[in-house]
Amino acid sequence: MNATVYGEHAERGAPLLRIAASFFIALALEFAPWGEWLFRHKPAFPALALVFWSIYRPRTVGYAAAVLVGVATDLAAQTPLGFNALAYCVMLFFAGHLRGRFALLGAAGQAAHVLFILATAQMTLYVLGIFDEGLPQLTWRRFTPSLSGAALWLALPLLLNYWRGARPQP
Amino acid sequence: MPELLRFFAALLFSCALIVSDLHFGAFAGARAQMSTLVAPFRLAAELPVRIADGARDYLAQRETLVRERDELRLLLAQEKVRLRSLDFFTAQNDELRARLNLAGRGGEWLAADVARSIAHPHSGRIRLNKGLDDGISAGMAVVDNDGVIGQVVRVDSSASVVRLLSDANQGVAARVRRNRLLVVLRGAGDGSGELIAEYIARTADLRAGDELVADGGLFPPGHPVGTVIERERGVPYDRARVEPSAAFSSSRVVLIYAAEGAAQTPRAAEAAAQ
Repeated sequence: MNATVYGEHAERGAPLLRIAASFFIALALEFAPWGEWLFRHKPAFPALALVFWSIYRPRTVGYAAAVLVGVATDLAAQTPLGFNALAYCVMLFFAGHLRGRFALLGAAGQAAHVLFILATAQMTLYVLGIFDEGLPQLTWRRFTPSLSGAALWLALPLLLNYWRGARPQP
Repeated sequence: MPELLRFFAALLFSCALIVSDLHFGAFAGARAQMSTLVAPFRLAAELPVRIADGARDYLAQRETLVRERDELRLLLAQEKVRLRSLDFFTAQNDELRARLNLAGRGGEWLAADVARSIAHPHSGRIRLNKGLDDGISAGMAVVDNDGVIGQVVRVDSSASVVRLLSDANQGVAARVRRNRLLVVLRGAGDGSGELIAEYIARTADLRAGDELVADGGLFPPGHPVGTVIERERGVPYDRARVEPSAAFSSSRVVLIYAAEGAAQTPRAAEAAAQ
């Protein structure tokens, strides 16, 4: 696959409305009735949307958006206010530092970076959880949302290309 | 470095939010109002399932409904008979309690649906579709037909979060039905859904198969909590593993029990539950 996975689609101009709509959809997906197993393993959609836009629209989507989306997630998930906001800020910090590499990386490399970026948010939430309900158990299962998020990052451009009738480059 | 400055500003703001919410409870009232802002997400998210449920109910076969009705009529008749005898015993009980100067087992009941979306992926919590507007407050006990489920820990205007008994931070006082032995249970918190009874004296009469019922307080007295699976010998105290009576993950409709004078602040309820 070619260097920029999403770049060309995102560069085509993403008005504020489209970005806002993507966050709305991400939040609705986050709180969809997934059933217990899927809920534990599905990607963190708002986090994924934040990472995506912060990489391809860094001037529009920054820390302010992270706090806003985080507070919305906190309100909907009924977690203490600020938990997700803080986690998303930490995540965007790392995303900002790795942003430059995304143009040079292939799909697999990008997915690995996204995995790391999403895991920083999960880790932050874990540490914050200690203040809320004592020391929660830390198992690899906690990071399955990051894994599935990275997998989605890998799979989505293939699906989008397929949908538009284009074949992925060999 | 304006980038770094923005990062620290956002970090500071988030930390301020957390401290004011967790430590000072600053948003206890405002949260309920703010949660109306995110109600559209919840509504949009649950819409497909609601439509599917509605369609399935609508398309249910007539024969199935007739059969169900007949079954329910029979059940109702049986329960009415049982209720008559219960009325007699309740009256007798009230009279005896009055003679002994004991308080009645007052308390109010509310019904709520369990929302299909789960409140918290990594801890034992479920979400209900009723909140402050329906008279629910933090600290109230949540039960189903089979047993105690947990306790309300957070409330918004139209939704609330219940911490299940299986959560390691949730405790409940229970008595053995057979001999009124008092035990304190807490969730195992290891994903097994079991409860642990700790600090059991080595000479206490407790064995596998014993039924445990709630002792009262915030929980409805006499409601089943669980059954002892195994007693583990230890020094200086024994402990026991307990299988909960309620079906935590499959309950769709639950009852909320408001004990007399149970209205509390969320902080106090969390403290009481721990």
